[in-house]
Amino acid sequence: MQVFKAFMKVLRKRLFPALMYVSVFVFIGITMAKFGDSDSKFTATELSIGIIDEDDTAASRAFADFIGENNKILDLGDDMDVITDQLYHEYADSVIVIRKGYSEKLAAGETDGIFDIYRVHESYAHVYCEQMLDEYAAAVKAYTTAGMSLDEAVKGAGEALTAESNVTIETFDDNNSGFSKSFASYFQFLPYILISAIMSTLCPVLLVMNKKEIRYRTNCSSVDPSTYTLQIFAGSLVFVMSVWLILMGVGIFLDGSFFHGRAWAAVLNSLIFAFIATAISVFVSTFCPGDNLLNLIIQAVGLGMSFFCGIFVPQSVLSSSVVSASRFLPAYWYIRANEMLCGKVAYDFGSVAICLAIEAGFAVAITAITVLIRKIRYSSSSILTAVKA
Amino acid sequence: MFLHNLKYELLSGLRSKDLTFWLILFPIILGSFFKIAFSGVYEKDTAFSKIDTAIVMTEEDVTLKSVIDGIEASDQPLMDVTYTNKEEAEKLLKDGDVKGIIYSGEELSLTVTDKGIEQTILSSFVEKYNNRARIIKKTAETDPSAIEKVAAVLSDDVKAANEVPLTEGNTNNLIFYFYNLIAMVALYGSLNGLNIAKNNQADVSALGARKQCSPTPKSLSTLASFCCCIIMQTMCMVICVTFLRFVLRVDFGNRLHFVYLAAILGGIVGVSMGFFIGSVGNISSNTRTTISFSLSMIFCFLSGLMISSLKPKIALMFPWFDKLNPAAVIADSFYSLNIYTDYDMYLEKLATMAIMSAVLVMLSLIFTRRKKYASF
Repeated sequence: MQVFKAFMKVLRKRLFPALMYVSVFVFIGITMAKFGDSDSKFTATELSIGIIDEDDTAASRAFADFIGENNKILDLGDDMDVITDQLYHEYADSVIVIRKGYSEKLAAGETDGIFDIYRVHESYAHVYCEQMLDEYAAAVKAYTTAGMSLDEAVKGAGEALTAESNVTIETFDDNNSGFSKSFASYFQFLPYILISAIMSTLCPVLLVMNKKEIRYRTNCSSVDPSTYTLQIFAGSLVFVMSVWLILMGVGIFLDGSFFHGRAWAAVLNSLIFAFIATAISVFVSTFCPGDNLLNLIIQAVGLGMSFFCGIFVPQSVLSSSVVSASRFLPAYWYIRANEMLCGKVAYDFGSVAICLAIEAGFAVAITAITVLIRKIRYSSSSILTAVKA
Repeated sequence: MFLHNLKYELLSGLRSKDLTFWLILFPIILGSFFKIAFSGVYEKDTAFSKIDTAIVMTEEDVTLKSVIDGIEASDQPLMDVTYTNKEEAEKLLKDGDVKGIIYSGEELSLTVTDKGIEQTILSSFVEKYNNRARIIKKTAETDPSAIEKVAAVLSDDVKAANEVPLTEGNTNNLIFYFYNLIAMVALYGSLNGLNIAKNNQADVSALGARKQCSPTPKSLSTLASFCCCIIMQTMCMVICVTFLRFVLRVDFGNRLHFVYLAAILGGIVGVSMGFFIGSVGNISSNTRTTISFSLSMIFCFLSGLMISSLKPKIALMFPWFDKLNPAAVIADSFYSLNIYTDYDMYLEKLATMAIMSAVLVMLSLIFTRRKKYASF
């Protein structure tokens, strides 16, 4: 186990930068899980609406109360830059201005142009909000036409429009215990964290192990190249398991409870992905890239895979060609399994198992290719050729 | 003497291709990834399109049918409807082919699988239909003679809100990922900046030791290194913006020269940050590189590089941080050019970058000046 021991010795020397990288990515992971909710607009049952009341009458206040009944009212003030920024970034879904003369117009049966609605995107939320305003105005007008006073009409419209219809949410899934969508969001971002944290910390150690002097010395020893590579894998796995355990601990801390039910399948999913990250790290470091090139590769693999495979942007909104191409990347199968486990898409045990098997297949394939390349690159004959050249 | 030093700094910088190559290649690779990954996302995600809906009628409902026909014939149809039976509708919903099932009856009811905005719009339609039925029912109870007038009012087209577009710029907010990509390249200029301190400190590098024994004043040699880094970083930033604009066709608006200016100033912030990190304390070169990478990564992450929805939350929760986060400042300068017609916010961001760079460089000079090295 000489190689394994040497690996651990190098790792100890580089422990501080490694811990720093792990801490940075754990911070990113926690923030993503807490604030990221990349698909929040798909799970919003209420809109975030800013209201500017220029009329300031009983009727306009009643309207604001009606909006606040089923939506979240944001206090954005009347600074147009702030309003534009919030609408652009979709933090606010809509901003409504109740125009001066609102109650007088409404009492006179006029409904057109009683509101202004600020627009940045022609979005679903904007269309929905417009509909809501039209419906409210129509209801008030209908009641005033029926002979009610404005106060009664406003009250009646509010009551009619807030009365609930029979809306059923069908999950097609009766056993989703232990793995909520919020918990799943932490696991959704894990591939990026695992790839970035593991590659940033493991590759520099592996690069030291692959240094010409160490390699040449190893080659003239009695250690078989395959045994050497396997010991490198073993050392890497010990380190990766420690990083993975830290990340699982963070997961437990964030959720406030220990894993149970389907969450265990998600844990297994992340473990297999950690193996994939290890295999990629060993594979990349085999080619001995320089420090800067290594960082480029880490960023490109981490961010590229995350954007292609639905880690940062949900798979449901990626174009079909991107989704088709991403099937050739392991993170696609990770996310697919995760979405099934949390019930985002219909759960099927067989399909989850297939996803896990494909991920494991990726890990095995990358490992096999790495062993092969190392055998060719680091064999005595290839070094002899390099020295002669 | 300064020009002589600058010339050799530049030659040395151009010959150590590794970092420059990396800073140029990085936005090309990631920018291409972004472009491919985001193709069609805005249309599919944010922009409005028809909602696939199944309708199950247990009995022939003429009123509902005429309402749906009216919706489908409108300029901006709300739904794309499939009339079917219960079993088939449930299969469509389970397979994700429709977003919801509307059942006719005394009151309409809706079945969905999620609580998203499309489902909310369908729910709103169902509620609107039921509300109108309720209003007519209530009118019938209180004043039956007004039913006709009320029904006429409810069938009138109402346009209660005037749309006020707030910008003429590119409203596709996925472009913010590209803004952040440029910010990331700018901040990775800190790796360039690290070399300024490294190459001028005798206890850190051999080159620093050689420079310390030369008669060139340290201030002159440091200034030449700093100027060289800025020139190299400017080259990277110009290539980055040019590639994004002219190869990937990212729409930065029609004030491209100001985009270049902001990008170059962003690069100077990055170099200054690296100079500062390289000058502080007595830590190893590897650790300084790690700190530089980590800080750049965190700044870009909090500016929305990975999840764009994070930025507005940070801006509301910690406005002071958002105003000081260099990545957010750089990205906001591009954003302000895209969204606003005036230059107030753009100039504010440029001023922030200039002050940031000046403060960092001054602190770096304070940390590096008057260092004496004992020779053995």
